[in-house]
Amino acid sequence: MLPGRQPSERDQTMRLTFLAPALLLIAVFIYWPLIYTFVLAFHQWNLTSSEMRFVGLTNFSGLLDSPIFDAALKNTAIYIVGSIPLKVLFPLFIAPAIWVVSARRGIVHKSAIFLPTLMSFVVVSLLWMWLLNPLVGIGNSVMAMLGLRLPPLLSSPDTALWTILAISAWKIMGFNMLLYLAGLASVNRDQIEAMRLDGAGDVALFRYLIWPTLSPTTFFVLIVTVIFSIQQVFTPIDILTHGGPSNSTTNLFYMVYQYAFQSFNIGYGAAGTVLIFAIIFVVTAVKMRILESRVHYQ
Amino acid sequence: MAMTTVRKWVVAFALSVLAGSAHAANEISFYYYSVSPNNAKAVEDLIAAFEKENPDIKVKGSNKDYRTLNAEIKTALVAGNPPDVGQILTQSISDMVLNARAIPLEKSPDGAKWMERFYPSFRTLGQFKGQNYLLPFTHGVALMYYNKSLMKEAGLSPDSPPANWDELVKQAQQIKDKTGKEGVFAFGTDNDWNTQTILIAGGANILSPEGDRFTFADEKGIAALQTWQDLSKKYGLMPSITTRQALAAFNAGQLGFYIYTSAQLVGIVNNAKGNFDVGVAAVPRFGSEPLKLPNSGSGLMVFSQDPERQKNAFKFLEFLSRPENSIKMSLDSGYMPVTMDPMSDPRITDFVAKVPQYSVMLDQMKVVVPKPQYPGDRAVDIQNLMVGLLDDLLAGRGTAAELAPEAQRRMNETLGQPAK
Repeated sequence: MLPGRQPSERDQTMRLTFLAPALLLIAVFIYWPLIYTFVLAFHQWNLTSSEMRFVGLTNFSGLLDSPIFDAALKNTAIYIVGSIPLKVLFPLFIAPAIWVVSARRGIVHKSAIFLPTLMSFVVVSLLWMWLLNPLVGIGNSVMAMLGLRLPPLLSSPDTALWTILAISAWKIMGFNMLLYLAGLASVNRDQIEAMRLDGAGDVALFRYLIWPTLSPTTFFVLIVTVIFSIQQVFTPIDILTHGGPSNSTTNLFYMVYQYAFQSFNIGYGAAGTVLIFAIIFVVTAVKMRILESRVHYQ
Repeated sequence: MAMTTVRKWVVAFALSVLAGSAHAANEISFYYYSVSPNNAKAVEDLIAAFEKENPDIKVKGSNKDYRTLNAEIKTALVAGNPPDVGQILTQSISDMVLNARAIPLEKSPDGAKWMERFYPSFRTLGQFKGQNYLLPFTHGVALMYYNKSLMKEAGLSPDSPPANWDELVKQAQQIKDKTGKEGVFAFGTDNDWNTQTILIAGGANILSPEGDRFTFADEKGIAALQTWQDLSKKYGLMPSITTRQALAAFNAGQLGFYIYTSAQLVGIVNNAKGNFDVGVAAVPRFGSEPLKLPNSGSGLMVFSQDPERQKNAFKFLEFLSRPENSIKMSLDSGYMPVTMDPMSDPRITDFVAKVPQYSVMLDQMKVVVPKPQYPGDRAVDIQNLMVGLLDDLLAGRGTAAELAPEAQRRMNETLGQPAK
């Protein structure tokens, strides 16, 4: 079709025909489950029964009163906030450090940091379970050489959540570093030369060139990290602690899984999912309102 | 011409999708779980033996996580493709009958006469409203495993393991002091069976006689929980580690006593060969309380909705009910033998001669009581509170006298909440 020409009926039909498969898949796998989850949140259903009863807001009130909810909500907030320094800010400083070293050395560092990203979360969880065994793990052997004892990181309610957060950060950090390196590719090295000639040090370079250049990437990494951080810890929670000890590692996702797929209380599971949706929606909206104006797009 | 070719491709594609999604008619789909490599191997061997005897039937076994197995069966059922046979924990029987359309074994063409091959108390464990739903398959009981080599090193007699918790504390302390290794790991916080076992062994009644209220926070229940907490908080003898880590530590010879399910018996004994001498004894008694222990484990249920497929499923169950196959499962793992009069079977007596530790488990069968089933539909919350009680005791958030009544109150409150 030429620019400016009105599309004919045939063109319209062709467009719809080509779009139809994608629209169908999106409707069936994204919009329908989304709408149906909202419907289920107001019903009592056990997944297999043909009977589904409307119960109004009972699922929401029951969920808020449940012994797991308070801990799950608090831990979800900690997983999100704790992820920012580990998964967003730390790679932001690692990436420029790798970017400035020679290509050959850089590739070694990049590979080493990126490698955990390629491993499955199940493997990563089992690996850390062995490493952190306070009696027979490698961590314990290393600590013993220093004359120290490895504390029971995964079985203490004070440390288990932070251990899971650190394990998920170890796995995800390499991927975020790669995103920052991609952002750094757009930095003009002549500009660095010019700034150096004007006497700019490393801090000034980062503050006035790297940081503004990477701000769109940082914004993207921040939003993605916040959205996915509660999902990323699901596997380590399930394998390492089952949400314990004393509900200290559970989060809203794990709680939804337990209600929906362990006790088949689908109404509670759906109500929990609606709450997660609302939380992520609000957090993302606030972030976009506050941060987008500060992002420097080239 | 071109259109005909396209149509042929579409039909071929549709057929291949249908063929892929549905089970083949002469195939038995079987979901099971295993808590040690020995268990999985035993199931694989039994499947192979069944296929050898029935060359026209193929058993497609899928080894699942026991915590998600029920969910997988239900979601497969909703998708119209349930497994024909599934391994189900005893506490889930009513749920799977009511919500996953499990088939009573009496529907077998031969009336499931083969159920009479099992010991009556194991049959009772699998009944719901007067019908048999569960073929006894893997029922375990708590045991105490101990490292005889560490006991010797600590100056203890390996033939006199602790008979009660006071002796356990004394011996574990001696192991810790003399060898520098850890003393004991008794019942972790990985699931509510641990809490149930401590309470029942201590003489408490978890539920009221009507089965509608929790009543465990009485004098005996609190005393048992306090004894358990004292191991770590008062005496510092139980390391704060997960159950998986504890098993690894015991297998590595770093732990004096390890108290957990008999399902790990054969795995532990095999692993210890060449490393250290392993002993097995009854769970220590709480004071003078006669020992009672709840069963762990599960049996097999039929879920096929199609009569033809049900026939094959029942054939498979009949095969597994034969004493030689049932006993194989027990000998290869450490689960209790569930057949009538197992001691009359020479395979059991031969095995006991080879692995004397197995006889301790046979003795413990006499003290087994059925694992309590929680009323209502808030099992996740109740399980969470049951496990949370041990977590809180282990974290030192209070004494048993402070925490148990509060946990019991919350459990009863949860039961009293409007359903779902």
